[in-house]
Amino acid sequence: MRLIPDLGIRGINMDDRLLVIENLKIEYHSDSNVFHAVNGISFELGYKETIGLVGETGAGKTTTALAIMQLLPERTGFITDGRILFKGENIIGKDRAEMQKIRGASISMIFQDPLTCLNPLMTVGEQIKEALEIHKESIGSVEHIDQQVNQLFEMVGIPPARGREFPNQFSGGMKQRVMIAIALACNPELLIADEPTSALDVTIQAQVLNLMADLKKKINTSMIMISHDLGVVVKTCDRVAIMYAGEIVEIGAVEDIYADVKHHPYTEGLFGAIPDIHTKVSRLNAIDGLMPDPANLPTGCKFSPRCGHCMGICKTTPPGVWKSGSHSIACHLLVKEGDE
Amino acid sequence: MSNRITSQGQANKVIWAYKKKSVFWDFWKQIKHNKAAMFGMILITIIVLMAILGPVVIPYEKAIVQDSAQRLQSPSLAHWFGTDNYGRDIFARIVHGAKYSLMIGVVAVAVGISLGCILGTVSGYFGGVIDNAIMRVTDCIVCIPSTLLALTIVAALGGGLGKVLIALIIANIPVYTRVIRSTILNVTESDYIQAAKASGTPDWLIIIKHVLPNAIGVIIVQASMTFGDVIITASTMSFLGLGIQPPTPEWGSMLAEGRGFMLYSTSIMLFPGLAIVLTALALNLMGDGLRDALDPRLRN
Amino acid sequence: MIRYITRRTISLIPILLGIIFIIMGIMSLTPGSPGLVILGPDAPPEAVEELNAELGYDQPFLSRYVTYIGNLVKGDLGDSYRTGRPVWYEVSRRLPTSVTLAILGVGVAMVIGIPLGILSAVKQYSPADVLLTSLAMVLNSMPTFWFGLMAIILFSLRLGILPSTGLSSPAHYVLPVAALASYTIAGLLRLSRTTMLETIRQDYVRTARAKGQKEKIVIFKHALGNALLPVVTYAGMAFGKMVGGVVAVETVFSIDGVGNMVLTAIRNKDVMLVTGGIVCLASIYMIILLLVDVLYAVIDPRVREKYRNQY
Repeated sequence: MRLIPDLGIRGINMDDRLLVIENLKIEYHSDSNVFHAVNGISFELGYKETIGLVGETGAGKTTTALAIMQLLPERTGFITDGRILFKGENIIGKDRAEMQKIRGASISMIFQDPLTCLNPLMTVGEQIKEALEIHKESIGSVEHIDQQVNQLFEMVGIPPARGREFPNQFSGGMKQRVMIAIALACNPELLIADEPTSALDVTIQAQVLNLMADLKKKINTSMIMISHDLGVVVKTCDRVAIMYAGEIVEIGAVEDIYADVKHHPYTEGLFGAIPDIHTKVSRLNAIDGLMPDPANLPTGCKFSPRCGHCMGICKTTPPGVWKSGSHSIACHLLVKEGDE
Repeated sequence: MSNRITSQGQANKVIWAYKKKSVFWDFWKQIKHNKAAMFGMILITIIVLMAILGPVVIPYEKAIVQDSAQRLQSPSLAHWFGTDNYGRDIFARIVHGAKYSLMIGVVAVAVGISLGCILGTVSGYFGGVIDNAIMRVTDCIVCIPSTLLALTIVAALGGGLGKVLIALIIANIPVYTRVIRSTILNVTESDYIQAAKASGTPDWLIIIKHVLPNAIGVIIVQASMTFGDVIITASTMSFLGLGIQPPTPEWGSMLAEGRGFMLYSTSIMLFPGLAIVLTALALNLMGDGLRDALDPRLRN
Repeated sequence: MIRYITRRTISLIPILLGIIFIIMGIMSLTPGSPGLVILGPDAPPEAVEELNAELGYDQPFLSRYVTYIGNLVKGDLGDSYRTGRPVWYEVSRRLPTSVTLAILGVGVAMVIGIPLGILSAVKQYSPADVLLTSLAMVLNSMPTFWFGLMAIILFSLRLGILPSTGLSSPAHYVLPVAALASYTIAGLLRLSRTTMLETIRQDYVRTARAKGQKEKIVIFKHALGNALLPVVTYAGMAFGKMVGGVVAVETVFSIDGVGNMVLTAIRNKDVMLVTGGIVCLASIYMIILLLVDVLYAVIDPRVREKYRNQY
């Protein structure tokens, strides 16, 4: 079932959407199996907006991000249905040269593990410079590239003199800053951040997130923030989509997700798992069971095996959508209640 | 107190046995897909069978009987691989010669592993001066190319199967010494070893239960990769006249004998060489398959 | 950097001393004595003993070892038992030949093996890849001497287009170098392929693509450099295998090099010459390993970093 949320929150009209994902389906093919990683997700992102994609490992968040960049592994990852409209144009059909113009200049991505994302044999300065040099025609300035590199260093809070050093001389947090500098070098309209702080210490996490928030305001980028950490998402996002087993089960504004009363049972489970600092308990509230095997997805609602509110219909029919303003939830329970 | 440890120990034994079995099974499933490795396995099985059963089917006389009238023949129905300069049937000689190459390979690798593991264990376990001494010596041996080492030993002690074996074993030992030693060093620093020691497990038991299983994968891969090289080096030594001597039908010495008659017969040089190549190929294919199966990074 | 080179060179010395110790040690197990070899089995025992004493044969092993090292530093490797001429004279006459062959062998192997391996990796699973990989497997299973022999049969005896003995013209180099290189071509092809495949999967290659970089540049600028690091080390070790393979090739092609000299010396029980020849070859190998280490440090900033902090 498709889940196209209403974007009434900021009064953004239909033509003003930077990114529209319609019914995207992605599969991975191995020698013997087909993994249904993403099963028909739809959402939209406006200009200067940040949406968070929340879910456990394996929910399909990174796959979605890679699909937007058209960086799925060539021989094994396939987009089997749907459209990705960037500024109104479907980028799924685009050939390699066209995507290369888009990557880095219009859509940028930073990845989860900064430790391995930089080429160990090139200086950091060269790697940032490369980001500029690739797109120098489209961003229009050939001269002063070195100056721009220095500006980028300063923007992320690294002394430009360190540009001559190699990645192994930088700490994890600083490497992530370098990645941010690379990603924002050409002022992209969309930045996809795939768990940018998961590999960092908590204190560094805060620094990097603050940096990203500042830069977002300065450069007016839209952002997709992928995280499994609800705390990170609430600080940085305007809207949030909860993903499970390759589907969006709940989507809405930040207030809807964090403060509203009605939720998808999975979302309730996620929030319930956060320990309450004021209460003393002997066990944490984990959600029983595991995410389903993408090669062997259950029929009906994919969360049904783990859901405490599971009804008969959940096992056979995919759920419909319950909507209230900007808040949408795909769950039989709420649709039923809505009917009453 | 001791009851709890016993049942935990028994539980561990069951878990370990189960892990071993399922590791084996996973690994077998993985390697089945690798067509090249399976081909290698089949090929080496054929060769081994040939080495074991061949001499039973083809009596040794056929390999040594000389027949001047039939010298240097090309392959024919009577002589599948032709005849050599003495009129001996090449196919029979190859069949009888197989066991030498295979045995040299097996003994050199097996003894190399055993001695290497012992040395590595001593080195890693005792540390200090002993460790230093063993590692220095190992470093020096590694720096002498194995052919040169073999030449040195043969120069001093004379040629023949035994001396070549000694040379190959010595050349082989350092690799396994290092593998076991580094496994011990890695493992002794990990927490579960501290825990095992704290609960009173004797050191030798720790080594058997924890060090060996970790090292076995690497050892198997190393062994399979060097098996082929060992066979090639051994036959090279025989060819140079320093290993197994004629008239023993070892493949390398067959080539040495036939060299003078290259002009008159290709068979005499072709088939023994092909035998060496096919054996080494089978072993290399298997070795590659083993390595791919045991290395998680290369799986797609 | 200079300090690293100096340090590495100095650390070479104990290993060299160790190698010579081992070689001399093994050679000292030779039955018989120099006097016997030089004067022949019919010589009177007193003459043999006298000669042995003169040559210092009756000294304990350690003192002979020290004397040998002392002489080595002065460039004196003793005299051949057979010819009486200085060992260094015999070796130095032939060393350039053998070293040239080895260098050519490694060079050809690198020029052919590495690009083919990279091609194989970039076009993984294509027919070209399968063909090259299979070919490499077969070559890796082939003894050098047999490759040489078959090459002679085909190109010299059957087709008559290439010479098979000696090194008197450039054409004479073709078959011996080909034989030497064959095994290493295979090894380099497979290794380059493996490291390239691994490197292509690395995160920083994905980063480069995410920047919008053209695929060709991603491969050649980002992946290639990183992939070739292990290959450099392998090439150095391959040289070592070649030092051994040179013996086989010189035999097959009747080339007057150090390898052939050592073989003849072994048959003649010429201990001095054998020791000298093998020590020289092993030393050359060590020097090559040193050069490879230094090269590695020059290329890889991570190694530089590690050693920079060791003072």
